[in-house]
Amino acid sequence: MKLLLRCHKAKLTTILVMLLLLLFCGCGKPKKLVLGMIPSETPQKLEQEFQQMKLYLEKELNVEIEFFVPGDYKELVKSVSEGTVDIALFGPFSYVLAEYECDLDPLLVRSKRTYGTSYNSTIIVPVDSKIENVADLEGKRFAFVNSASTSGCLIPSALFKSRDIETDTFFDYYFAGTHDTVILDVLSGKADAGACANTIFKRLSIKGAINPDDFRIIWKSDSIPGSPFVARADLDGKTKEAFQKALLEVDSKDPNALNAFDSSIEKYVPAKVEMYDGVRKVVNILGRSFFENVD
Amino acid sequence: MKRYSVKFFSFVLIVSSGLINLIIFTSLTWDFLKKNIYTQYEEHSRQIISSELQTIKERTARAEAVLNLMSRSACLSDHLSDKEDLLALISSHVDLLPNSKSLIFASDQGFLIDAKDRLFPESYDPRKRNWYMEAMETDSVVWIEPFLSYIDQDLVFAATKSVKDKNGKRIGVLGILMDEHFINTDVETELFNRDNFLLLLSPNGTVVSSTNEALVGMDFFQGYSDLINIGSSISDFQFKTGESEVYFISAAQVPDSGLFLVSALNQDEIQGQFSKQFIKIFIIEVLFILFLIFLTYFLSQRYLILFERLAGLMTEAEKGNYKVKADYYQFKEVAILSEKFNSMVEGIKNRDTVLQQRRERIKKLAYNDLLTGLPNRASLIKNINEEFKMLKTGDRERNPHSGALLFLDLDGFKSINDTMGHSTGDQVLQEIAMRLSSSVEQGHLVCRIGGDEFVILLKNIDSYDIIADQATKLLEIVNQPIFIENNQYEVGASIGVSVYPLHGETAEQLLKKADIAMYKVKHGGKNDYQIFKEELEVEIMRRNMLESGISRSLRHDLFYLVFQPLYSFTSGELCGFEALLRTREESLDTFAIDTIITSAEETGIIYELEKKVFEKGFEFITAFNTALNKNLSLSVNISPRHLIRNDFTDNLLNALERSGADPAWINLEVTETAMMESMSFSVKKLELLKEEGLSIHLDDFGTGYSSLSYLQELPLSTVKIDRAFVESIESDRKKRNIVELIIKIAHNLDLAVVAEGIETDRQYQLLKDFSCDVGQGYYMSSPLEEDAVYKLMENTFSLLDEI
Repeated sequence: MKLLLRCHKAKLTTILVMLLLLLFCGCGKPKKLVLGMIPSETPQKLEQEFQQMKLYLEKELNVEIEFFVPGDYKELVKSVSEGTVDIALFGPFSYVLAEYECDLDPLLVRSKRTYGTSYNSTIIVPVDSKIENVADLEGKRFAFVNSASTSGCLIPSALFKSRDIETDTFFDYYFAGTHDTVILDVLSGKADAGACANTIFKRLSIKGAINPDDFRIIWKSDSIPGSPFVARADLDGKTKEAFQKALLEVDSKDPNALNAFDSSIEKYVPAKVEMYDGVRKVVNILGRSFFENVD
Repeated sequence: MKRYSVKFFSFVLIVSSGLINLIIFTSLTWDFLKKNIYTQYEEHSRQIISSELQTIKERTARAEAVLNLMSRSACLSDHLSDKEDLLALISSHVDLLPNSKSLIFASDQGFLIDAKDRLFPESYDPRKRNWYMEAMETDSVVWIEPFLSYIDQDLVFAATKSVKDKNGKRIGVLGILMDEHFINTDVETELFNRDNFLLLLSPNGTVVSSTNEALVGMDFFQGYSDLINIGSSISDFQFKTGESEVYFISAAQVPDSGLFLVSALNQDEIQGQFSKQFIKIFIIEVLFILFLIFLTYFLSQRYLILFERLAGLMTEAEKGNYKVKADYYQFKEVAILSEKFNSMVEGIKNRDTVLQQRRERIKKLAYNDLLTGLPNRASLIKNINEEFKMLKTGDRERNPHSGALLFLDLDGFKSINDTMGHSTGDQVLQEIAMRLSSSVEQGHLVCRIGGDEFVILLKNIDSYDIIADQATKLLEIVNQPIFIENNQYEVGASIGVSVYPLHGETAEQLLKKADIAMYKVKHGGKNDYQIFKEELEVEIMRRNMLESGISRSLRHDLFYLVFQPLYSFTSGELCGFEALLRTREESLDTFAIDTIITSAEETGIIYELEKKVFEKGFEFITAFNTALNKNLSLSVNISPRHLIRNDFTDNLLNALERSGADPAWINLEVTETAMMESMSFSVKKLELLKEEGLSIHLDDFGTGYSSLSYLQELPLSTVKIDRAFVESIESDRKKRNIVELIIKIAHNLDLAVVAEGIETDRQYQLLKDFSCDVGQGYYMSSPLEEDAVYKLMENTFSLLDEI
């Protein structure tokens, strides 16, 4: 077969590499582990919240951990594909997008007390709004979270697509940046409606930042898998395993750290690639053109 | 240039051959394995496709069949008015479709019946949906392009068909929502996973079902449009996604439905499988080769270490230890080497021994005399030098006569050698050598430095007495008769002694001075010893002067003759001359003519002198007698040294012939001593000459033995009384009586008598009284030169008158 003939160069290289590997057996542990997070909140806040987790992980993994919050998800993808970030906390959508750039291994996904590993995207309106359903959104001002957000953009976009709604002409939309902002904008009337994660909504309610009674949910998606910790595929297996093990045990070993990071998280469970197939399917249907515009 | 060891080379060779082996083996394995694996995968996927194609075909056909059946069924249009009925009808058909999610009917009245009875919002109007519009346009089954569900945003894949009423009017759309696991995933879970997958594509290329759900909804044609026209036979492609992923694709279109079935095998996946297997084989191979390398290395090490050991033995042998023995027989080559090494060492050892012996022999030859085995001249010089070295360094006590060199020259050896032959001479020398060696004490040295010359080096002596004792002893033992083959021989010795460091500090000086002393003995009677004195040197110098003067005289013809007249007592007349030799050589002025002649006799040159005498003498007498018409005689003295020579007679007769002299004119004067050596030989010559007409005179009679037997045995005509008798004839009565008696005896034997050395008138008268025949002396005339002889002739008579 022609295909096979083309492989001679690769063959020779492989043999040589194998010989070299035989000679230089043994690989060193990484001196430090770089942990990246998608900027769902301000970097300072994220870092502050994660501080205790970081100490816990350093202790458990016996390796220095560097915390890295990039400006946007693209920078995080780039850092992971370049190998400067070893493990990253992606949103489901951004994880799927990142997969197009490099090989990734999902390690863990958080499990929340009320919702488990999944959550939902919701479209909220003020409680006294006249908007009753999706069709009523026509001509209104609509707030998305940001273009890389799963519940705050991808899933609502799928909704609109399924109903043959062209968002550009259907209503006046904008990106509020964070879930919190979407909620607050809806409350303040800056937006007539907005898309956000029900988990964030719940958290703000618990914090007392909002009164859930001030809002009404006009649409709720099916379950979406939660944000995974993913490792670049070429990170050594031992580190991955150690990281996984540490987070699986964090709820029992250091509940305070977990609580400080996100009080709504009950524990971490192993993440599987297949868990995100639903998201992938949506991305496939929305097409490349959709996510290529994500920023 | 750096040199590498065989060990290095063999190691490199082993390793490189191992590597080459490895490369060839793995290369072959690679090719074989790869081909194998790819073929395996390819066949596998084609198999799957072909079986799956069958399944899909059945399923789509079934779905289409149901749709066709239901759309034709009159009952559907009959039940349009009653939704409950309709739902029941549809639900009853769902069971016919095991691979479907649901069965729906969308009415042109704007409502939708779902077999699964899902709730649709009131706002939902199916007539506005694309799929509805698409299906309404045709009567045939339409496989709808997948879309997002209005309700749950899940992906919907459906086969639709418009439904007609009795009048043929399209009154709605019947749709089967296909299960997303439409593809039979049980087929090959082993082969298919997230990287290798089976896809079902809608006619427009959207993935509607896949073993990898992540791909569902993807527009496959967007990346890969080659599939569009492939038809229903299975085709193979290569498909690249992104930058690195390469898929091997087998695909076929499902008949009727227009769906595509695609199997995609990720090259990396196959590669991974391949690598897994390859690495297994590779590691086994590497281990095997490593094992071989170590095995060969250690074997060669065992082999090469023997060379190092051999080298060690060689170093030993080099140091001279010939006892080393190599006994490495483990390997053939080394065994040969060992054997050769052993025989080489043996050979070297033998040669060494021979060389050692030869060296000693050469040393012996260089420093020893072959004949006698005594040390030779070189050895002597070496010994002397060592002596001086020791004296210098103080190893030996130093006084003016710390040692002595005795130069011993045999007397009378030469005649033994000449007469009895060299063999006898050699035996004599050996005997003498033996005697000398045995007579000299340990610590001294006896050498033979030349023919019959020996040197005895007395080392470390403290007095002259020792020298004297030793010399005497040597003389004694040399003088002992020597018996060789029943013959007895006697030799003497002349010993010259020099003492060191008094007489010199080099071997040369000592030898020279001992030689001088020895020479003195030789000339002073032999068989004695003489310790060197400075005077001896002077003597030798004078002798040298004499000898060189003689040869110069001969060379430049400076010898000449004077003639002393002989007178007859009876007539008083001149009756002849005696030729006497003189020289004009100035350096010989201080030497008496007798000394000159003696020296010439000693050096053997006397015959040359006498030939001159013959020549000049015979010429003179011929000229004289011819001129004056006389028959006067000429007496010439014959040296015994000349007489014994073989050419004597010839010399004489040739001179006679050349001069033209009458032999009767010539008197040959021989002495007793001349006759004593080889008497009979000389007598014969004299007799021959007498026959030729010459007269023979016995000269100096009365001095030596004065044996009367000579007077009888020799062919004499005249006896010449020695001047010593004539001198004392006046004062000594005894002598006078002897002279008278000699004359009487001579006359009785018919011999004439000549008296020489007459200086006084009384002597003349007495001799005349004794009837002496002829006289000669200053009384009558001193020896005259030739001119004076002629002058004398003019006054002969007057002279006689005076007398």
